[in-house]
Amino acid sequence: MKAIRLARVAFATAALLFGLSVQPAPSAAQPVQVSLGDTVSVETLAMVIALERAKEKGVDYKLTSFAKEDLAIQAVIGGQADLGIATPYAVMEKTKAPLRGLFQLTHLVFFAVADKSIKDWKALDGQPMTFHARGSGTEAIGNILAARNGIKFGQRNYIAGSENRLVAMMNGQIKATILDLANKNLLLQKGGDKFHVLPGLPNPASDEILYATTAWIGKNGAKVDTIVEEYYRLWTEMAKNPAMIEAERAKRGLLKDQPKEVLANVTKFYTQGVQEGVFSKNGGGPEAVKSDFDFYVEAGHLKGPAGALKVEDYWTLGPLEKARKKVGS
Amino acid sequence: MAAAPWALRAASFVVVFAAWEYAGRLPVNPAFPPFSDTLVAAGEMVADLSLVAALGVTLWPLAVGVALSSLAGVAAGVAMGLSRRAEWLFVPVFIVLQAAPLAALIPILVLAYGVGLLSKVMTVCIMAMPVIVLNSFKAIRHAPSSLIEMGHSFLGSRRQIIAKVILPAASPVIFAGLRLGLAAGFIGAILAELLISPTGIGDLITYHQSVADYPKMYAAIATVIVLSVLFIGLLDRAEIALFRPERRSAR
Repeated sequence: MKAIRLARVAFATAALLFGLSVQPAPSAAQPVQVSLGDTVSVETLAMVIALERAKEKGVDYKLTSFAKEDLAIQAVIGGQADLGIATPYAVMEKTKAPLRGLFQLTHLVFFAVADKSIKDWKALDGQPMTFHARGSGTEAIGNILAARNGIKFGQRNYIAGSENRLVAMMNGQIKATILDLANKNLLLQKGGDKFHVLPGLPNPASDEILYATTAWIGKNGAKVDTIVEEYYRLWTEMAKNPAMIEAERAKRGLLKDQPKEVLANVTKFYTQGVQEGVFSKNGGGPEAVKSDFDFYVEAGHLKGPAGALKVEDYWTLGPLEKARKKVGS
Repeated sequence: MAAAPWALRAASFVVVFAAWEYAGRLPVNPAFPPFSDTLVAAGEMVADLSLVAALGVTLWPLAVGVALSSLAGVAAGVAMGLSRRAEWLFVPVFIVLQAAPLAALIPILVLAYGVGLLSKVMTVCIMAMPVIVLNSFKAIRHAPSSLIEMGHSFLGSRRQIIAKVILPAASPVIFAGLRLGLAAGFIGAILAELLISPTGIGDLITYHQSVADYPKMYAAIATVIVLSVLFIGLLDRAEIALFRPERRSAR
């Protein structure tokens, strides 16, 4: 009998431990909890401005930055956050988590750069290649480009952060890697005589998308419409005039703690970003989602086959269509 | 009645695994897999050798770090226990090290030792060494004075009293420190792999998290826990076999 009693106590304790990880979902009166898998910086500034504009229309929000994108996605799945900004395709498929994309924010615009001793993709066959992390977007791009060029990389190295891979390139520690737009430009500016850009992918897939759980979208239709509308409005305004981001930042006093030199680059960052297609021009749509399926299946993040995946299992496009009709393009 | 301890131990595992299975099937969170899925994932990772290869990578800095911490740590602790000067000189350092939050020190370690094996070994040492040193020090300092006095009255030399009275009396607490140090070393090794550069088990955890293969992620985490428990159990056995004849005969 004692053993049974002990077992009961142990079971209750274990159930309590596992049960404690369940958090109640915030009620409707509370601000929308937004989880961002990145720090608030120049790169994520536009995303914050859209949320600020939605706040002016009565949809209050609270933003939480996570050290890792995976944690930001788990916060949304677990119900601690309502809206997320990340790339959740793999999570959507593998966990059957009821997540749906709402707005395509950015594209995976990355550039394969190499020392000039490596003339083209063929010359990279069997050579070491450096990526951000195992399973990251940069590795996905590398895998696809390698397959399309009929080569295989040798040793794979991982250095997190384009800025750190840039330093490794400049120091001669690595000869080829994949960099984001800002760091690719910096590399060519500082060492254009030594480095060059290899041909990339024509239609970049989604990088960060705005997403939420189906349950939250279902219960908060009006809030979703307002937020998606403000993202659509800002993204179309930004496509016409990238300098408006800096004006909006100054007006709202955002990123006040950043040094002046960093803030001086806001307009340059957004102008280049719009030119090179980092920022989505229309927030996505069925065609963009299908091309995401192609990319992420080829990269091994989704099982596929791409043709068998349904847009409605991954995206809720209604709010975006409403915003497009209301704001116009 | 002889089987009762084993039955209870088995029952405690069954209860925890049943609760895990139940929580995973509810599910409490779509990213939390049931125990059975995790077990299958662990089987797959053993079969494709990825788990074995990762353990080989993780155990290397762990083994070097724990071996260094054990040898140097017990020696330093014993010296501090026997000499007041050594105590004044070193105890504050180890108390500060024990109190320091390791994750916050990692950038300094990377700055000093780079991103390779050395910084991982140092992380293991910083986690394992203070607890080994401080336990050894207390064990020596608290060796029963009546036994030491008895040694003196039998005209034992200082060396004889240390080797035949103080060290045997201190060995249970020194071993307790080694067990705690080993467990802390495991934490250090995994922290280093998660925070410095993803290799071994740390790489399996981060990679499977990033591609949302949660059963494999939990299998990697569970493997570390199982391994840590196994090693601590082995150390316990070694202590009984080598230094504790009274407990050996009681079994």
